[in-house]
Amino acid sequence: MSTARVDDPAQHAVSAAALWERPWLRFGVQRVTGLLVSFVLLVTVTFVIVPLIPGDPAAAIAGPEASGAEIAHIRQQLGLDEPLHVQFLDYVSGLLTLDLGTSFASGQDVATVILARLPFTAELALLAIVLVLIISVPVGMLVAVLTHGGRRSWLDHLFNFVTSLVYSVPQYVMATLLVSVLAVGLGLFPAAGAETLLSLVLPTLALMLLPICVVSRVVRRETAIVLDQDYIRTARGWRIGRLRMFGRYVLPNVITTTLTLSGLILASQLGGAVVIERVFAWPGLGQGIVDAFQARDYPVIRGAILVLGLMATVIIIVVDVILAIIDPRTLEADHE
Amino acid sequence: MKNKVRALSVAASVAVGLSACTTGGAGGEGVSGTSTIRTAINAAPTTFTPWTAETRDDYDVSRLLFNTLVRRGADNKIVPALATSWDATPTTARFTLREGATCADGTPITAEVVRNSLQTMATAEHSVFREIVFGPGKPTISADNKAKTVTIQLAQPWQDLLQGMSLVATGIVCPAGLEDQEGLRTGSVKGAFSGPYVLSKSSHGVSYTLTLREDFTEWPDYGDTPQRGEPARTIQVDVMANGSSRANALLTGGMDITTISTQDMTRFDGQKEYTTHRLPSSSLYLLFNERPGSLFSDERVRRAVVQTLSREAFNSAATGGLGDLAVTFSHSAVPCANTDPSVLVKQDVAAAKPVLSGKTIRINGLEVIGPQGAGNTYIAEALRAAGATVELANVDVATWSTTGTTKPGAWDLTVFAGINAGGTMYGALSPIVGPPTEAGGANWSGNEHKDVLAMVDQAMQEPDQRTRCGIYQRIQETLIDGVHVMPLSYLPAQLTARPGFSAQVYNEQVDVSTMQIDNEG
Repeated sequence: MSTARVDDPAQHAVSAAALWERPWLRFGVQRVTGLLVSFVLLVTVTFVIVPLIPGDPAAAIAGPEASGAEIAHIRQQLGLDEPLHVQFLDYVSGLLTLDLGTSFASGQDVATVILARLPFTAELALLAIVLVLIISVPVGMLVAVLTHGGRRSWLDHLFNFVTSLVYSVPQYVMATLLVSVLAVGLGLFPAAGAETLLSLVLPTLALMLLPICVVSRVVRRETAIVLDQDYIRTARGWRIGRLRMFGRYVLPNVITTTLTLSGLILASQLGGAVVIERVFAWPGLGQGIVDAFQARDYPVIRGAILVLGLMATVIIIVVDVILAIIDPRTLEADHE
Repeated sequence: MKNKVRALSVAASVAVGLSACTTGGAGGEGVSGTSTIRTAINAAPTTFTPWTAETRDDYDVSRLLFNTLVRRGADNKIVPALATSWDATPTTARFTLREGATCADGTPITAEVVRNSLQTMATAEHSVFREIVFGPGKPTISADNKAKTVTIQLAQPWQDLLQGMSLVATGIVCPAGLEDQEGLRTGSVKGAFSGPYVLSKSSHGVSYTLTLREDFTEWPDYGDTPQRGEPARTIQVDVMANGSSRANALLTGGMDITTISTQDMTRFDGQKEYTTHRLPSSSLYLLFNERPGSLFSDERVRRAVVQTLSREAFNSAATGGLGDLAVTFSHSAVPCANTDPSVLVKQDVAAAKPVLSGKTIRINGLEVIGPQGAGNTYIAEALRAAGATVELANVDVATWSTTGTTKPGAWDLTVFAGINAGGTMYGALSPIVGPPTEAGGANWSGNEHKDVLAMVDQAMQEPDQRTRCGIYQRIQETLIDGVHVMPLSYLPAQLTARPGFSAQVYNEQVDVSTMQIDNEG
């Protein structure tokens, strides 16, 4: 068996350069590095910024009718009277053993607090984004095809009008309308909570309507651009079947933008569905973070932001991987 | 589900009197077949340790899990719970325990078990209600297992001891809980519970499932509780902060009993099948920073502020007119609370203007006093109209509380929202009199009021209720007439129940352990 010599700097440099030419390896190294940088930034920035929120956690926990002595005692118990760098070292050493700390407000492990809520958030966000893709991609493509070349301008106007109208309605208004009409008015769905599968309907609907408008408009525009490309005209000239043409030549070109956009939407929905969670009393992580802010529960705020930040980064990496599989040119684009 | 039509609540409510009311469904669809009550709390409990309970949600959950020696029934009458009888003087109380009471793990609740629990509460480093219950100094608590008696000897006379023993903070924690205090705090020690329910499942911040103990018999003997149903075998407690969501859930059958504290209360007006009871949840009063050298150390300036303001206008801004006007700083159902509006300082804007003109006033405003702190905004505008320059900070509870308790130089006046969970006049006085916060006390005003403290000492020694109330009346008049506080109004909440469910309200406080499923008819 032969072994590579590693004591020759020139040969070593050549092999590293050769390895770097492997697109997937390069892709993997770049993404993992990005993930690590995100982790370090999230840990440092959240640690530094969170104590800048006005309000003392000890006073928040003790309540307005507590004595100064009780507040001082709680501060000491929470370790808030330690110098900031000591607190940071404690926090980081905890993270290295996968310990996110203990909630100031409840004494529960932060991981327990987050894990109690994360499944609700993930369930809602994933269901919403899947439905967004299922609905908006075909709708956007269909409208683009039907209105291509200036045909059926009424459909174009109607599509623009409806998507603009729905998009312009603030999410809390949409959520309130849905709950007022479909739950309280008609009694079709539960108004609040997450007890049954039916409880998912209204919050999912409220969460997906706006992204459907955005994504379907993007898909429509991207499809219209692709339909004007020479290779599509050529494909038509070759009398390739419509289904094959759309599946093979149009969809892959449209899906790149759509997936990128959907990844960003999913990442933002994981932590940003606070309004929906509040209106429907959905026990998700967004509402949990708001509660933690109100209680000045530093460990929960930091832990939740860290988890959500890492999840967002992972989602973007997964989207990049899918895009690279669908269209390997994106790997090259990375290199360039 | 079998439909049932019933009519009972009005008669029942009248029967138990004004200070002990039943909120319960009175018609429409019944709930035959269910053994679960679904209810809600605002936020995750901060603790399951009774003596460190901070929020109303903490009190409610602990009330279901831990029994107390006594309870407070209608008109603040002390009634039996874990203790069947008691003898009390201003300095001692001896409680005789009920036969056969056990902890959730089967451990008998002996006198020693009770002593150890109360002793831990009295000596804990963090014990929110210690002074409200036992007064200044450490009590001596002894147990006689044979006689089944527990005796509490106080460091100084304290007439509030019996009332204190009804508070959730004195809930009896069984030996398993005392041995594992971290587990007690997080609710993971089932053997810790002495109350009717155990915490059988929890998803922190999301929901909590409480299961009725089959062997529990030590229910409080209120005497006037209309028995028209049974306690739930399971209580499902969801965390639901939004009042509108709670109202929606009640209206669509997703929840059975809950308290709503927003304008959503009015959605049940005229809905006869739902029963409601409106409660004063927090007492709102104007409190001044009277530290030496501060603007409001001058009585003339305090009086001018009070003369500027209208309680009616404030109430309209803060509660949409749904709250009752206050004539004292305590909860209205606290024993000896003032009921005489003539003690209040009269509004006189003309007299106030020359005093306030050119003054700069910093308001530490709590944003929950009306929508976006509308109550504080009214006060700011009224003072501006009187010629003062006003800096208003409408902030959340944590920031407001931090400013009030740790930054004595950063504010001049605030609308204090007292929940006074102790339900005693002394508890209501704590943000107003005694050592200031910077000296380790709970007094926001910075004015120790030694004259008032002397009167409190006098009241605590006075065994006669009428004479004691006379002293407390003088205290309230001293603080109101001396413009150290200005009673404003009560922030309202509404206990609301779907048809077929009920709960008792005593002294304008809900006792969640009386929640029942009405399975008759």
